[in-house]
Amino acid sequence: MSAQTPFAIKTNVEMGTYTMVNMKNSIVKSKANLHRTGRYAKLFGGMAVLAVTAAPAMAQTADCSFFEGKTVELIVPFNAGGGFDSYSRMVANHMGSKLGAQNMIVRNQPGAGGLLATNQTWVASAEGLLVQMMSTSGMLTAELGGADGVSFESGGFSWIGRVSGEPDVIAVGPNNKITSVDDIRAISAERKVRIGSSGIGDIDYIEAELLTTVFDLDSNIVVGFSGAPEVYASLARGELDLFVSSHSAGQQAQSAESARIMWLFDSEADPDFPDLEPIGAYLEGDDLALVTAHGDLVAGGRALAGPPGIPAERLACLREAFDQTMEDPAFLAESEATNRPVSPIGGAELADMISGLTENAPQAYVDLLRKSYQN
Amino acid sequence: MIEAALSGLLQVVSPYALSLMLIGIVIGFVVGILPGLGGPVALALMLPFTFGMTPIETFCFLLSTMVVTTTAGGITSILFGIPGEATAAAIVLDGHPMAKQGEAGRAIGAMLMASLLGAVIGAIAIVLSIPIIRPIVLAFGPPEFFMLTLVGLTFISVLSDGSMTKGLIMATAGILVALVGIDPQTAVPRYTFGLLELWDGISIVAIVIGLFGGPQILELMLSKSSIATGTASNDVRGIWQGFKDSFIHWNVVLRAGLIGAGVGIVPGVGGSVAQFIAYGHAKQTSREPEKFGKGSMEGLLAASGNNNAKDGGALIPMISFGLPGSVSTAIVLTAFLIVGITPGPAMLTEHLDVTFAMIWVTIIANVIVLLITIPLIKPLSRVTLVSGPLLAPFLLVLVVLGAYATHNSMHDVWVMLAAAAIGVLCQRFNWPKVPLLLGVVLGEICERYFFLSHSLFGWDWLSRPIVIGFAVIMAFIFFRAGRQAWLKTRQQGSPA
Amino acid sequence: MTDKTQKTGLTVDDYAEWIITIFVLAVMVSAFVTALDWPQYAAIFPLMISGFGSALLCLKLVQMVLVSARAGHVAGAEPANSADRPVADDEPAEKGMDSVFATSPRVVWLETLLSVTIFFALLTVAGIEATIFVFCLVYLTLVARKSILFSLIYAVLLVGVVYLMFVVLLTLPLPKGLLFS
Repeated sequence: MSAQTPFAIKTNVEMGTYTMVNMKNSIVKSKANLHRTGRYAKLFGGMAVLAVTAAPAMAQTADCSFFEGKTVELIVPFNAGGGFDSYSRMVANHMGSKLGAQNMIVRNQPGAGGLLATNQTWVASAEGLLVQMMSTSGMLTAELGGADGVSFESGGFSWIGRVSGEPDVIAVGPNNKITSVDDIRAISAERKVRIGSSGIGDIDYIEAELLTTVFDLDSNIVVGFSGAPEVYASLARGELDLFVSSHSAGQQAQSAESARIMWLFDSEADPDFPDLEPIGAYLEGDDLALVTAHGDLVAGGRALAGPPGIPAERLACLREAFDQTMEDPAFLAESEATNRPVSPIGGAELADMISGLTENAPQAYVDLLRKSYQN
Repeated sequence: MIEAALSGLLQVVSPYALSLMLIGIVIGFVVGILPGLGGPVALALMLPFTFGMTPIETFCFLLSTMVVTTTAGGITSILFGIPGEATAAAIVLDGHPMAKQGEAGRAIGAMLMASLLGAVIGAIAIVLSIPIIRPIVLAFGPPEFFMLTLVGLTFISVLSDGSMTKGLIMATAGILVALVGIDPQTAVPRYTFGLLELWDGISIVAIVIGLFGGPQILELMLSKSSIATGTASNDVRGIWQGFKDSFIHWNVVLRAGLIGAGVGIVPGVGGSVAQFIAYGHAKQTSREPEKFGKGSMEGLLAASGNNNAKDGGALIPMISFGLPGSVSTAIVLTAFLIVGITPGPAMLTEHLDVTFAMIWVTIIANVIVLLITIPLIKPLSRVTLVSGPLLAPFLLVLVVLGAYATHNSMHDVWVMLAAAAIGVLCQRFNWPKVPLLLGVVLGEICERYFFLSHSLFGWDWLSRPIVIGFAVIMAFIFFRAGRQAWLKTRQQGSPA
Repeated sequence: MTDKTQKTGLTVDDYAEWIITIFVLAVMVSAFVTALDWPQYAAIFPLMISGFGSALLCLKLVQMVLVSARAGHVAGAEPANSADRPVADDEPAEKGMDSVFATSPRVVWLETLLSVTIFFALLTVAGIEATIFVFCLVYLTLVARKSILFSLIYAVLLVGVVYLMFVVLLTLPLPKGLLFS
């Protein structure tokens, strides 16, 4: 019941991407510029931006007249106000007009860590008027791991496009002495390495299991925290040794001096995060294959999809509208100004990626996932 | 520090910032009146408009909304007995009986002023603790959180309305309700009857709305009379009396505020427990404890003074660590990040003026809300004179939509209905409701932090200083409650 | 409803006390038994809590048996409060035997419960807007004895406000009802 109490939220998946360190300076400058143009102008400017994007749609190659005058619903499988929700609202604000629809509104449908909404979208009407922002890694791991409550097949959804996909990072406490993988192994030799997690079956739990396997650690995966911020607080208090979370959550914690980000949880370096070393650098063979598989899965990020079986032409409209939104200068301006960077992937490519992940996941990885869910 | 405080203040009182606050307040008021819809919904909708605003303007816009939804929720609690949010349940306990006695105006006035005073106390608490905030937050870990939930639970002894056995039984029932859902330790679904909707547990908001609001509506429909059955003091003098009351009982408000601020600092646990500790403590130390639950001004003041102070306290871990203590603070955190503010030590040093701006906003917003509501109190309290059946459809819609809006699902409406049935039975047959609520609110948190403490520390955590301190407090509360009950039995000569 | 039955001399409150106690005990015991199947860590707390609750309830039952053997009535006087403080005349009675729930005649109860049932049935089937409309018309004219015009205006206003707030301002979904989904 970790997502139930009014004050417990799952934030490791929900938190948006905020690349603080690099963008802070440019933001301060751009905000100063905005400030100079007059503060009322800013508020109305912001609204004007929104008004402009409600203008008639740009030309489209497919026949999208179906969407005219209709409302498209974007389902968000988490509560209002988190990072996941705010990304979705940002997309909804701009994509409706690109589609030629009357508007696109967000509907929150939280529950079971996103599974509730995903299950319902799986059997929803496939007219094209209902889409959902998927937490792709969450659904893929649940499906591959054979979790209870999954009644969908990730590959079957009508994938429209990926909005953002940041890698996960491994963080250590701000005051502990860990500077290398060997240090972790040294700790493991003396006592159990304490790795934090928001809950069994969560991505960070799977990553904790992965770390234990590939580095041969004697670990104690501590579950029961209500979300990434709480785990980071525990890390800051020195109660934990390690924690794997999204890059943005890690970045926040680092700025708050609650953590030090050490490595990227991936097999190869990422050009967007040149300062971070991938743990793949320390692995080879089967271990490397496990991390690679997981990294590919996490890259699914936050992506838009509709129920299975949307008619081809309407799906093409949706995909086109999505692509246009991702390139729209107004959208990109809002994305940058609000610290929500996007790294889009088109629908067709994404669909292939997802099918590949579900069909060709290495058996060792699937076994690890199954172990994580049936613990 | 003084320059930062002044700088923050100046940035907040500019006309533009004040107008943003006003817009935020109006939105928060309208949304807050509806039970179940609160800070989160309003804030989530306002986030897109913060694009392009400076950090301080963002707070003026968002924080004022957050402040107001609590107060607006208090108004529905008093007038209709329907809690605006889970944290407003304690306001219903004494606020609504007062409305029934024709003192709605006075109750609302008292609530408003106590909320303002509580906000001020909370603000002072933050300011005073700025030098030691980070060590304080770091000193509280899972063991301390667990003990705090236990402290909250000991107040069952105080809030059981005379029958401690029944109170304990209801509390255990409440804890069982809280345990419904996926177990955090082993991911096993517990008491979910195969329903995916129950994996996240049973919605507390729906329970609160149903348990407290349901019986009130039924009462109106049965009695066919208006809410206020006594002589109505719906003239303006009632409000001023309410204001005066909060100053007359300043020590109740002060202690409630301090408790709220202190407990609010504890992230994740603080908010849920604070109102019960404040209310329970007020009852235990009052000279007229038997009035509590029947329209005690002290009870109302304790419940109201605690709320905003707790929100103020919750800002502390958020500013210094990015650790949200409640759903509302989580959204404010998202707003921070969007606007480019990083929680952390910088907020207490270079950006101290921004921190102060936040504090000023909460205080100024509370003042504005007070001023705006004054002219509204008269028409609002007239509602208590409207005949019951006329209000019934409106109130039914209110509770249904309030429950529905928690997760956009009819499931919560059924939960609310079931809770309403239980509420009616409790009221009719003298089983206390508050311990049930206590159990529901604290049960799951209690278990989670217990296991976390064990995972992290084995059994060593039992010897931590703050843990021992809480244990002493618990013993004290129990002892005092036990003594009061024993004295009462001796007086009456009959079993409790 | 507080009349004593002639045969046993027990009040409704007495019966209720027995029924409620036994029912809650049954729930606690089944919660306990269900938890026995779970893995250790998942089960500890539920077992402790339901065990404790069951024990308390058994204790209460024993107490009730003893009291009823002696005095017949198990639903005792009002909780301590009323004994130490005289209830003023204009204060509404809220709890227990003097509450509206106890003193309302059976007809009124039936009427009220029927109204509530109709409301929720309509809600499930037809969604909130239709429910408001129909319920306001029916309830206000029949129960509140207002004119049809009044009820109509009330209904329209209420639907309007709900629509304005939820659909226009907040873009939140409203309960739709089985007919429309």
